[in-house]
Amino acid sequence: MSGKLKIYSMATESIIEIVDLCKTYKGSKKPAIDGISVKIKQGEIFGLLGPNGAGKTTTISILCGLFAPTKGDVYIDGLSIRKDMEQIKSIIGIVPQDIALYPSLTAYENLRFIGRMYGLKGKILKERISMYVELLGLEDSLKKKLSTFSGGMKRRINLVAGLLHNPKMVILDEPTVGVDVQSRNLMVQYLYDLNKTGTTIIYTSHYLQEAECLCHRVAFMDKGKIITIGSPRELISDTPGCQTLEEVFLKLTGIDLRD
Amino acid sequence: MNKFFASFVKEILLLVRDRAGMLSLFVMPLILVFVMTLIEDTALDSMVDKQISMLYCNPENDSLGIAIKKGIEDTKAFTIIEEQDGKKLNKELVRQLVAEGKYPVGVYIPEGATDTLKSNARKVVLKTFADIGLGSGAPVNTNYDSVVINVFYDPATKNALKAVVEGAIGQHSSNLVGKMISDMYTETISDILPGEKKLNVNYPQMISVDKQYASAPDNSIIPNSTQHNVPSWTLFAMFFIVIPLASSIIQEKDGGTYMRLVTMPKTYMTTFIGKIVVYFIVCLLQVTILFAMGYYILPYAGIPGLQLGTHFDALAMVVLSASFAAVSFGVLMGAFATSYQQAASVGVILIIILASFGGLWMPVYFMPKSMQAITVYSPLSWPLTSFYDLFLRNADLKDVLPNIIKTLLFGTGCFIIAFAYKAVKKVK
Repeated sequence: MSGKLKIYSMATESIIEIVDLCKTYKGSKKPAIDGISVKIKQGEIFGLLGPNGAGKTTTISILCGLFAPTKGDVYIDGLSIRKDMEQIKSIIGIVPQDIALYPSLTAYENLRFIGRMYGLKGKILKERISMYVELLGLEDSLKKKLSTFSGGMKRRINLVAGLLHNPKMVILDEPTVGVDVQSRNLMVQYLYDLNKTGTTIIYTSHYLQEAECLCHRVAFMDKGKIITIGSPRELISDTPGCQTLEEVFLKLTGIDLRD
Repeated sequence: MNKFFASFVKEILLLVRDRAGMLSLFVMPLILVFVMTLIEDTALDSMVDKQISMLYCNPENDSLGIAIKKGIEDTKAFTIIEEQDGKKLNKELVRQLVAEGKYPVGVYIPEGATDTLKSNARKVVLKTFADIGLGSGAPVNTNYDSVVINVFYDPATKNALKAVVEGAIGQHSSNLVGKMISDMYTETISDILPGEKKLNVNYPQMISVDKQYASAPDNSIIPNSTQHNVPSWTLFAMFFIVIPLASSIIQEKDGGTYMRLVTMPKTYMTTFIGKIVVYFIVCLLQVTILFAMGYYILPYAGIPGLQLGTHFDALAMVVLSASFAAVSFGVLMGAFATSYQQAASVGVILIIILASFGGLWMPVYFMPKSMQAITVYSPLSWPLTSFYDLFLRNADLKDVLPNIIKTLLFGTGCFIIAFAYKAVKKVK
């Protein structure tokens, strides 16, 4: 594949276009995602919200190239995930739900390894590491092993690892789960600042108040489908009797417990 | 190259900081090889290389006792002990010390045994001459007195050891009796020869035994505990790499780093190769360290040092192919196992099974015929057989090539199955 980008059918203002995306896992009769279509604009913070088992992680996994969809396609920056995944990988940053780093390595060793995997090296890599750890308040802990970090510090390093190569688009899967209020505030503020530089952010979370503050638009998913989409303000105003995104969420997805 | 180097450095750091892993890869194999060689050197090679202490009580100190003692000494299998705490042994003390397990074997030659034998020999000769009418005419006493030599064994004494003791006693007492009778004949015939003529009979050595190892007529290396244990336990340690390697792969899957790696551009295979190269080098280091211990350290413990043969090109090929097979087996386990516990338990059991019927625990020739037939299917037996061929039979690359090819095919098969399984899982 040459370095030239292939442009498929996609609205120019959209960086991501999900077209009739379906995924049914082998051995399962029910689809995990069932024909979702959505466009995400360049520079947008887009929240993918829903109860457990709604299909958020499956959607994100397909966007990351972890597995192929059963049907449909996703176009990212004009590239198809079915044909151009290797090129797509270099323009997206992933912040997984798990702390996807090595506990016995120091924060610096982890970040140096991740940076090199994205093709960074030498002075540029060192400068990027210094810049990001400073922005996320980790400069004093760079030489410490990850196993000695608090939950919040691990989450912040996990975030830095997904941003080192300055991706056009960042996919965050519950990035603030299990962290204290201070760390969460810092991370949310940082994501907000990052978005101001033009980076598109796709974000899943169970903290709906956080999503309400941070996201330009959110999509509620349930049982593999998108049940509604819009800005938090629109969704609240369009749903009678609801004052918050959480109330909208409960009204649309019900109060029954999910597996 | 930058990505490969980064993965390589990362894997080395992870490995070095895993103290339990380092212990299981380097320290424990060193102890295992040393201890097993030492134990088996005593148990298996005592007949050949190592002398066993034997109590020897010979109160009469005459021809029979001296001849048997010399015969036992000539076997080079025993150190003869005739005193205990500065006191001469007696029959009861010999029995007691062996019964207490302090010595595996004790021999007691009764007082007057030589005289009894001489008397018996005289009776045999006199009877013979009387039968042909050359005697004095006086009646010949043909009641022969029996001589009983007591041999006391510890119940745990091996049959092979008993055979050596009894063989030495039987052979040398028979020789002595034969010589006594012959001397008696010579003496009697000389008495009846006219004049001053004396019969002088010499018995030249007519039979000699030439011992050599059929496999290596031009190579004087003797098969011993070291030549078996060092290569076999080294292979065992190399295949034990399955535990840290498989757990490293599983930890990446469980911890989410696998997800990060596969979502990076053209990265996963590079990092994976970085990982297996590190573990491949670990295998080579294990062989180097363990063989060096066999070569340099074991002689200090009174054990024969490891002999590496003369074909180092073939040895290098065997080591490289065995390392490849060990690493690929670890990759296979890492692909199929779903947890560290599963990889550790299944991996260990599989290695033990493959090692046991591969001849690592016990040389193949000790096994029943049915087991020997199965041995050839163990991937651990192929490099082990090659090591034997190189170290003991002076084989060259051409001789060990079939086993090298089998080992490489096994490794390639493991890789293919592991990657095919991962590919199928990704599609799901």
